[in-house]
Amino acid sequence: MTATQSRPTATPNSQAAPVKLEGVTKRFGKTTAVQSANLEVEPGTLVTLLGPSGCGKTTILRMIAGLETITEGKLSIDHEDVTQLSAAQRDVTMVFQSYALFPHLSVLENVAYGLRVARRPDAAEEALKLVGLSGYASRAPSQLSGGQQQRVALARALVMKPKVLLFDEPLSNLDAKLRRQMRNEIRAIQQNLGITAVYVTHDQAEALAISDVVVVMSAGRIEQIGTPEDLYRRPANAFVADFIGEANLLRATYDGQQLGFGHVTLPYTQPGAPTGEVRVLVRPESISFSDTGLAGRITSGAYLGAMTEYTIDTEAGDVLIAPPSESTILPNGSDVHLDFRSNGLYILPA
Amino acid sequence: MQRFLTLTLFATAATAGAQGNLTFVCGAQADWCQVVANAYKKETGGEAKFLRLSAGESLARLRAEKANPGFDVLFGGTGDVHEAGTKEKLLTYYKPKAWNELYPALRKQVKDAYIPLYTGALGFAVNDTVLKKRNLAAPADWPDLGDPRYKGLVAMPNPNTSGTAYTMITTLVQIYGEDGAFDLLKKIHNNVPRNGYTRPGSGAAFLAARGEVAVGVTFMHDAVAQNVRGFPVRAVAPRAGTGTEIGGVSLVTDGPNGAVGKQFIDFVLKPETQKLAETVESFQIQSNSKTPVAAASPKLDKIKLIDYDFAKWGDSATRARIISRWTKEVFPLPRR
Amino acid sequence: MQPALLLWPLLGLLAFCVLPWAREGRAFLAGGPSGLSLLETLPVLWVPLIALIATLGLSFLGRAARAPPTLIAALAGFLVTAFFIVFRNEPADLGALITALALLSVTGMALSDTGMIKADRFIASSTLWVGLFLILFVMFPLYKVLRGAFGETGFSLEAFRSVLTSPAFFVLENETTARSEATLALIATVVGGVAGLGLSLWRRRPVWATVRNTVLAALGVGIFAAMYFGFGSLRNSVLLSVSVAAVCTALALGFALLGTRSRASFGPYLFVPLALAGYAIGSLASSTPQTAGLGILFKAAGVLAAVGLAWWLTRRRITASKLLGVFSLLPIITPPFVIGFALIFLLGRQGLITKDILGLDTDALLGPLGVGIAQTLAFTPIAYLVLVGVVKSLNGTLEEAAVTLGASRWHVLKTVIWPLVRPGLANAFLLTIIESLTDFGNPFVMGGSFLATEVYFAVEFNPAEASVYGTVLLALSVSAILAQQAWLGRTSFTTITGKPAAGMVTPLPPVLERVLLFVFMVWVLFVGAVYGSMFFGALVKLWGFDNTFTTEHILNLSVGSLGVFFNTLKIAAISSLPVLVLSVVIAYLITRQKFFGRGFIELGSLLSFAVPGTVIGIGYILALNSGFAYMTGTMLILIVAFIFRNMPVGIRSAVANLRQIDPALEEASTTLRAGSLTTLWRVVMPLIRPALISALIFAFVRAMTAISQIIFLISPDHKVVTSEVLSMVERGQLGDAAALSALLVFTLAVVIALMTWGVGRMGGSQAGVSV
Repeated sequence: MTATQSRPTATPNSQAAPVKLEGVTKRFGKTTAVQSANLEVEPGTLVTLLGPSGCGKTTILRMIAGLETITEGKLSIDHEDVTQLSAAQRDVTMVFQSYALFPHLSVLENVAYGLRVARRPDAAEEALKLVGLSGYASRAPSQLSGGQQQRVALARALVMKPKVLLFDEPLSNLDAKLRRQMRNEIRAIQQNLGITAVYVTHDQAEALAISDVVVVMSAGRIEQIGTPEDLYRRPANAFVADFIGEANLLRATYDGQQLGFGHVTLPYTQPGAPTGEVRVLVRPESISFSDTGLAGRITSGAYLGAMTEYTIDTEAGDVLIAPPSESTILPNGSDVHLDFRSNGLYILPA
Repeated sequence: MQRFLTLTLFATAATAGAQGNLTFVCGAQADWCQVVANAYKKETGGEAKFLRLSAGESLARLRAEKANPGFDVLFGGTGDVHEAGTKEKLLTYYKPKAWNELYPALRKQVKDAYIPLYTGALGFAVNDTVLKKRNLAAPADWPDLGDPRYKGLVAMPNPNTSGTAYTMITTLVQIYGEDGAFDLLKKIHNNVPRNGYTRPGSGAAFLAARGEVAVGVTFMHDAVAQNVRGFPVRAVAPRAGTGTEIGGVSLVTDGPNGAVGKQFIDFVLKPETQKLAETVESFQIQSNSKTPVAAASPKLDKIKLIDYDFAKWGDSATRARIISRWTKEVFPLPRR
Repeated sequence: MQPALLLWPLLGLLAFCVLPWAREGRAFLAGGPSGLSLLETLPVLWVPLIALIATLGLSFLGRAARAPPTLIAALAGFLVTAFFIVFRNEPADLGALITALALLSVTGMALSDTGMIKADRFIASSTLWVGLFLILFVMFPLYKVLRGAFGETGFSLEAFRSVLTSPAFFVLENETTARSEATLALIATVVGGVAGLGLSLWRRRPVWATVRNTVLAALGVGIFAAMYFGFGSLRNSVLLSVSVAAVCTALALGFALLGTRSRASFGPYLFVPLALAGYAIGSLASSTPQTAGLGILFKAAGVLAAVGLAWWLTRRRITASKLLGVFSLLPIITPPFVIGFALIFLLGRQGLITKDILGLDTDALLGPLGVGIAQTLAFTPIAYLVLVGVVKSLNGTLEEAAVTLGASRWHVLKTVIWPLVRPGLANAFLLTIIESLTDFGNPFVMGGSFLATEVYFAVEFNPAEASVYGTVLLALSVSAILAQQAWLGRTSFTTITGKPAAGMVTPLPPVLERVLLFVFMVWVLFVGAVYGSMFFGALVKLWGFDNTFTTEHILNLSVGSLGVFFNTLKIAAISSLPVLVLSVVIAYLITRQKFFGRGFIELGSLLSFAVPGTVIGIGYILALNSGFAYMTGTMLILIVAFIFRNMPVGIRSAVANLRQIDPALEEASTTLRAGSLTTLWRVVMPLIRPALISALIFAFVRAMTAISQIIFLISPDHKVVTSEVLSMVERGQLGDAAALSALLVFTLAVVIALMTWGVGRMGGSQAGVSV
């Protein structure tokens, strides 16, 4: 083994395959965990399933893996119907939340586990090199740190050259700093290899950072599918708006030209938006203090270092804003006026 | 792997068909059966394989195997088993060549139900060391066993497993009447310690020999055998009279090796074969009148014997009723 | 296309064409006609033949095209073969059996391929296999024997009535005592009811709960009182099994904790046991005529050497864990009679402990109490085997977590260890309670009236009664199983996850450690005495009577018993491997797979264990003495009896171990494209190694020391050591019996050591294979 610490440049994966769910439903007894989900994952993209716990995102992942049977509907991977195939028959591997490293096997043996039949020992060492753990082959998993363990789990999944790589909340056991580092690495490896990946998380920041496409789920249903920016800027409904990032949902009136918040009106057009009484999403960073504009009174303020977070009671509802911190913090009860950037507004669909 | 197992597991050598080979149930002491089997092999060249089972077990086994018997001969065991087996057609009567040499009294008593193999009288195995320590006299008669003085000091076999115990109960019934006998048995029960009902007929003699109890109800030849082995026990005959057993040998109905069973029965009734018993401390009186009586054997002419009605008490329904009565009325009784 | 698809049809064809289908007598492969040669006279056999050829041909097609026709062909072939075997009712030979099994396997694989059942091929076929085996070797024999309870023609209350009203079964009122037991029980019932009512009212429970609690409390206390005051085999069995199981489980837990967590030196506790052993050896050495005068010298030398050894061990600071493995397992490797007779020798009226040491003249320690002591000795190791695996696999980080949260050692024990070992405890308790209920050997030797011995007594005179007793025992065992499941509920206890952790286990609280060490010392003393007296018995002329040293008993062994001994060894060895495999597979099926019939397999696999061996033995004779499965008088019937009798313990211990393993590990293996078989072999088996060792040891030991289930199955060609020992004991040849038992114990010890080492290496070699 020639140990070079530079990572090998991965060749684009010709195996990258699309995944398609058509009306997939999963019921456990009487409870429905997933209700007729439709989803297409483009080859070579990383799609994240995002939602609060119990929303069915892990169930979808496990159905793709073959670890749960599908009650109704059809699942195809690489244009092949795999609904009836068992997990072992599918060309899919998974990185588990608990890592699921075999405690009785060494690091290298863990990674080579799936290769036993194929007899390609070099591949395991390559995979270890890919995740930057070449020196650790003979260690026991328990001798590694959390981040290293997760890398082993990743290498073990990658080494199979799967058509689809699944991640089940892989970073939830790591600390914040390591999490950011690992997610960047996962994204880099995924993009280098051009592999199709489905990623489950409940952390919206992680989802936005890592994904090509994010699927937001709630109570067994898919709420919205879109790019991170889509979701942030143009959420399909209040749930998505609220779940992704900080959101102010304000009452307003809209007549196609003007958007009215109480006594203040702004010129605004949004093709296809409903008119009349509407709800408008305004992200905190699109709001600033000004001399004119929507009047309100500060009900709470919190110093967060780089910025200060205020909650302001206005005619259109409570507004959360987070301007850069200044030397003085405005006291509660201060009367302020708010200005909205018009490209930071979005009228939610009816 | 599978083939290997196949060969080792399934290729059980079938003894059937080979000349002179047979299998028998050993209802007597195993080492007696062993010397008989050895002698049989020496004389005929045939292999006689046996399995030692107690009286109750052998009957249950023959019954369970009725559709496809695995044994040819039932050798030894108290008469009631042979009677019951013959009645149920598990055993078939065969008149052996030596029939006329057998003691006429035995022949008369068993009628044509089975072939007498040996006989012996019931009695007590008494451990004088234990008695002396407690200043007790040796029991002389059946009612003494129910005397509270002997509390915890009496052992007897369990009639559910032992033909000896059944012989004891029916002897008492024949002397004292059925209700009188069961009253006495209940009193005796009070004197029997918790481990005092033994499985084999010789078990009570064994407990007496070891000094766990002072008196064990047993066939007197078993008491003698313990004495010969060096234990401080002697055989005592009850004054009021005692029953006898006539151990038998019978042919199993439709045994696997057919006529070889008869040949074996004729062989075991020869004086030369019967003589072997005393070499392994089996001191029963052998059934062939030409067999010399062992010096240590209890002499039946010195003992008061009752006229034991084998036909009546060997009946399996009676047997089941008596034993079931004991099991339900005496055995579960709490001791005072 | 996998080789398995080709293999089974090919194997079936081979069995059909080459192997014999029918037997003349007992012997297998004795040259009967093959399926091919039967075709002319029995055209129905074309069905399996065509099915085999068809499935072979179909296996070259793709999955979707292949699966449905394969399923139809294989199922039809299997059903025809099975019906042919069963209804022809003549001894079937391997040809027919392998053909049927091959078709069954193909059916299972096809079921999996069609997606009709959501399991892979291995799981599908092994489920069918296991189901077939359970029906054939558990359900069918049990049905045969229990049918007697319901009469030959139909349900008959008479047999039930006569048994259940018999005083041998249960009687509350003892007319010979002054007090009235029935009244006492009634009073207890009322007291229980009032207490239940009072408590419910005090806690302000709703009406329904109050009524329920009152009734339950009244019944519970009432039943307990009736059992306590009453008489009969039911009462004896219930009281005995509950108390034995409680004591065994407690002892086993204590020993398991000591073994994993004790750091204190055990040396100081060894002075007394070793000194006694030294004294005994000294007196044995001075018992020959040549050395008679040197008695004091020998004994003093023995005691001195022993004290020296104890002092040295104290200096070395050896912990109890070194001795635990040996002493907590030793009693398991002894046939019941040996413990029984050793106890008579130690605790009887002439007993070494009762008479010579304590100066008592009593037989109180024999009888039911003696049965209890003997069973405690015999079954604590079983509980230990179950618990040691559980305690060893406790995750240290959990305890560390508790300690860092400020928990004391006691608190850790109570809040962390206890809840985690609870499933193990429940399993151990369940096993021992059933063992005790169905134990036959100990009550048989020690005396007393228990359900399991009543079964045996009834078999001869009234088979219907035996069946009733069997049914009652079965009902008791099944209630125990149900109660266990109710207690454990659906809680899950996962301590082995794929997230590796290496925490340190917390030491025991010092007080508890000292108490446990003392208890263990008494145990060592007692076990030592039992074994000592056995070896003593083998080396003296007349055990307990003429204690002169002799080698005659050992020399006697070679005369006849050695053949039987090796035969038993062979049977035990052959039967323990299938037990291991079946235990793992069945435990895996019932804990990890969801499929139709899982409950059937779970209960069915326990049934053979839940009835006394005698009942199962009779069932085997009744079921397998004629007809297609004719196999009495062969070694095979003994092996089969052992496999299905000893399997439940393996299953329970594997289940307890499996429940502690995070299913994600197996899922990880599956997503890495390993089939169930590979997952079992490479992930599950290495992880539940402690359970495997215990299953293997248990199966082997039980096969060597069992008596009840095979007392009716042994044949002159295939005798076993225990029946040999028993018949020696009956003949009064205690010395020979002791020598044979000593040989047995010694061999078992060696075999266990080898097995532990071998299974240990199994995992080791996995780790050693570098890729």
